[in-house]
Amino acid sequence: MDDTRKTIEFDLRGQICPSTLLTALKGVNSHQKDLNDGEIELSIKTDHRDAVVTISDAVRNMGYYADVSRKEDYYLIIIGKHHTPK
Amino acid sequence: MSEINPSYNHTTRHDDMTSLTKENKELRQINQKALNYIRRKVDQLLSVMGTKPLSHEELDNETLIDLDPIGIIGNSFQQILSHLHKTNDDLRTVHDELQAIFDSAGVGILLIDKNKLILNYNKTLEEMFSIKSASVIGQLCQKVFCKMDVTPSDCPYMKVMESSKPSYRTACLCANNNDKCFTMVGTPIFSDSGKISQVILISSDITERLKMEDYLHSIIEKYTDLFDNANDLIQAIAPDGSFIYVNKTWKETLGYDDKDIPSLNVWDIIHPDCDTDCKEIFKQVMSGKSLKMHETKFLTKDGRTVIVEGNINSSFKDGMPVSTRGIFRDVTEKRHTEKELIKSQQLESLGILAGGIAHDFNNILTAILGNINLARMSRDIDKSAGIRLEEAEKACFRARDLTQQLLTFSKGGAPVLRLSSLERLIRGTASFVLSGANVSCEFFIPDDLWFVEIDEGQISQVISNLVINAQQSMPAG
Repeated sequence: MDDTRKTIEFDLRGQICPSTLLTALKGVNSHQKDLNDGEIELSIKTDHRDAVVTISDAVRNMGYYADVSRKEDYYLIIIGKHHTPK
Repeated sequence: MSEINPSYNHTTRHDDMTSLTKENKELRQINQKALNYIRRKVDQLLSVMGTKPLSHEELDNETLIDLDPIGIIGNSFQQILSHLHKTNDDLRTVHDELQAIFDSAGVGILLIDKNKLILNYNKTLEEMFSIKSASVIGQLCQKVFCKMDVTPSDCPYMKVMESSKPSYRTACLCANNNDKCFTMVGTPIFSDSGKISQVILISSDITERLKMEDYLHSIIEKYTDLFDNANDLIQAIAPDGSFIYVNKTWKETLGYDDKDIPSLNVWDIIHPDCDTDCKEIFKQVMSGKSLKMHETKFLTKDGRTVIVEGNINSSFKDGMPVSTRGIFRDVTEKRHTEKELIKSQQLESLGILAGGIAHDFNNILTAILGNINLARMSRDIDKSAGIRLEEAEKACFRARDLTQQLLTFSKGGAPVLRLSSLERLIRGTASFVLSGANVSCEFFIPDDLWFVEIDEGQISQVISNLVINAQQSMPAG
């Protein structure tokens, strides 16, 4: 991961699917360009276990990486794109 | 404000209200239908995304429209599609690259399914096995390549299927071309269910390699034979003093066998007398100096000393010494012979000296003998003096024999052979030795004893020594 990237946080704790997925996808869609340019990463916090799978599966199919880690009382999903030099 | 139409009466207004109410109801129904449709489609899309459907409690109609889930998922699908296109492009590129590698690989590649039916093969394999048929895709592998109805038991395919692991087969003869020899490696490809779906067989033509190995083997044999049958001791030593190579003569001369060599160090075979000298030489050779005809001493396994003489130099790799080469000749026997020769030369000098002395002594003896003869011929001499003169004459003869021996020795030891009577020689010599002694000698000599060709002086000396020994060993001798 590139440390110079800006991180935009989405705290979706308390939400369940499909709302969590839709909110996460909305976030991804609205920052699509910056994500693809490798300028930013999205940091999504969720305490809904199913959302971890649906969100990471969906964004991976869209060509992003999704690094999932478990924190004390929530899951943290970092979404971004590996920068490929043109 | 518009004016109210006078004709627009109560009844008309009622009818309009009724109509509007109906229209409103219908519109509400249409709206609800549309909302239901949207919810169904959203649920359908969410299902595709692998998540749960929406519930009314979670999102009311107004929030649903504001959130625009179809737009969100549609946008996501757009990205998924874009990503898929890119992935497909990447796959096509990889496929093209793999196809190029597949076609240009220096090894034969054959892909068969679990039933041994040929799925694909590359050009190299086609050439290797001289496949003439336009296409053998879909045919049984063993029929095409092994010309057999039954799969050979050592076929890598069989081994892969049995073990589910890559399998290797070497020296596989080609049924299509008996002059060719191959190695073959089989590798399984697993389906999602974990079962083997296909097997890749990779063949390498090792015909040339085997020929080269045979050639190298023959070269090694030839040089090993040459080295082992050399009369010289040949050795190669690593910088740490361990032996890299020693030839048969080396082992035979020093009494070591093959199993001793790995644990042996050069300092084990250097004689302690040469240790310091050899350490200095080893250092010099390792620094690139060559030594010719250097002599040193080796110790055999059983402690014998072997004197060797030879040439030593070293081989280098990347500027670093990797070994010293030594070719030595066992000169132990030669050195011994040289010593004997020196001794013999010394003896020869002694012989010349002895010959000179003997010659002068002979001259003196001639004078003594002449005077004895003259004295014996005198008439004035009495009987007893005559006997003594006779004994003196005999002693002179013995002395002459002795000088004769010295002269023989001075001439290199060759005996002066003459036909002689052994009886006369034995009786004469023994009587002379024992004259005046307190022991007597008894002779038992056959009458028919033959004459022999001997050096009387030397044999007389032998008999004389024997009789002196016998006399001295007598109780009062």
